[in-house]
Amino acid sequence: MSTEKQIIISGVGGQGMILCGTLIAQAAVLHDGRRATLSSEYGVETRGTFAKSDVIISDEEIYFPDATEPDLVLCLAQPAYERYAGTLPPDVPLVYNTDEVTPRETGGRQLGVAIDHLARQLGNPATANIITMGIAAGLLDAVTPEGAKAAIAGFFSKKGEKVIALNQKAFEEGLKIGRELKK
Amino acid sequence: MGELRFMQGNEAMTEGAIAAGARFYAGYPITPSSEVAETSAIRLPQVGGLYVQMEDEIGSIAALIGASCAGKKAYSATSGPGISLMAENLGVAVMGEIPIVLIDVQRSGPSTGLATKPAQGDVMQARWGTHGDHGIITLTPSTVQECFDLMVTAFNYAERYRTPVIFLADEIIGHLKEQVILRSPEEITVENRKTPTCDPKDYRPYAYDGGIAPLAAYGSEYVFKVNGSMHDEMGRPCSKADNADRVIRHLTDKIEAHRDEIALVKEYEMEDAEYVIIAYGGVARSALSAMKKARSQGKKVGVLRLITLWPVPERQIAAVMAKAKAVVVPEMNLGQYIGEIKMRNPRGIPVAGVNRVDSYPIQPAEILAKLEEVAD
Repeated sequence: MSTEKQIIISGVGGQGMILCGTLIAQAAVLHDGRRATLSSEYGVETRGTFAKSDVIISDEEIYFPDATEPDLVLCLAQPAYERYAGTLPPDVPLVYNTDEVTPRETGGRQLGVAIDHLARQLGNPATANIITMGIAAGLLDAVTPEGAKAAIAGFFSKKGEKVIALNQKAFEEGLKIGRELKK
Repeated sequence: MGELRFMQGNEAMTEGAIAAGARFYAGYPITPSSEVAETSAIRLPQVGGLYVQMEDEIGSIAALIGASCAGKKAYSATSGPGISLMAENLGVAVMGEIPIVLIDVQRSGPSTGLATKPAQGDVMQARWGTHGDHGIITLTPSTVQECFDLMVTAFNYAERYRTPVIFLADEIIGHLKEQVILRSPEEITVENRKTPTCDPKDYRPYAYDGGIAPLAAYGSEYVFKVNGSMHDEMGRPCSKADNADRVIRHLTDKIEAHRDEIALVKEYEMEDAEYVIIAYGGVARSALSAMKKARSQGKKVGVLRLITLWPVPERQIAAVMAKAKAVVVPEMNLGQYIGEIKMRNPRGIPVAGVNRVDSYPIQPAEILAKLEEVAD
């Protein structure tokens, strides 16, 4: 049985989608001892146009690094939603950010989460991508929460304990939502 | 022991260059290679090296030539538009036989093209980007690990053959992040250029009688000239016909006659392969995925992954062409390398390309479809 998991994290430039994917893949490699790739796509603009990262986690060597058969798709903005809505098999969950995305009926498994709203409640809208990371970890058994939190601590190490704690809390919030959605 | 890291291809190139002993970078950042500049600017000063942000790519390669003449291992990273600007001085490095490493992280062209999108459109530019007959070495990585390991090889070849080496990556691998082991010094072999030991007045910087002449460093007691004009073995301008013939043949043969030492490939499932995918760079990963799928369906498909593009791995390609029923060559260009395969096809087997220039990577399914087609 293949242990491979493919995740697409998409939005627009500036939302931190590539960082979100990087931290998930990094956690898998450095903390969980697995293999992972992160490939990304973005425009020449620094803000506002489609951006995504494809994360593949496996116990075997990963060749083609793009997620061709995703197990989970997360869309934080409308252009990203438009790209994936209606293209997925009915059992593959598509999580969308209700603060940015107006969904339509696709017949697929679409799960709305107020990600931006949650991030503001936590006190920093920039934590939206870390909440997203938690949702992914909760919905799919691709990365351990310990590994993810260690990756977060590593990335924010220069910003101090407060920032690390905030982002780990954001991850925990996302993780709870992800686990709820999985049920 | 090496150190396990999760890293981008571009960043691993910087670490590979430093591991190879490179201590000088001059460049002008350009997408999708900018992270090589960024990480070099951080890392080189930490190891006693120097990073210089230049005014453009013309000045960048000129600075590399100067640094290498002074005895330092030097590199720069750019993309197709930058290589176009470097082409003139690349010829100076060829003619002067100055070791340098140029990283080209290919993006979609021509000209400014699509800055953030992948392509493999610079394959022929790497071979013939500068004018005049000459040999050149071009290596292409397919994994982040290879961005490190093959970079060491690139510097070793540059030093051994006194030549510029083009490290032809692409956006797929340059921006890909995956695990890499940063090898410790005892795990790698680093070659350094031969330096002269003779009496300074007897030093002949372009003496070809012993293969590759030793290269002294500027500032040492050895005095020598480097420029782009035809020169004799002392580096003095020389317009004699027999000398020009001798120099040009040397510049070509020092690479081409050593192709078996320079040409690197990796074979996958080739023992019983009836159908072979010949691929390189980021696209090789699509080829390997296609192979895995085909094997799971019981089809005898193998992959010959080219690591050295120039000089052409003749022997390894000939072995494939002698056995295979058909060959598929996927490239993110309109067929720049497939011609090399087609001209080495004595049995006339089907050789088919899979080509994409719309900025999206070649999908494994497209290669599988082409395999079906050639198998019919």
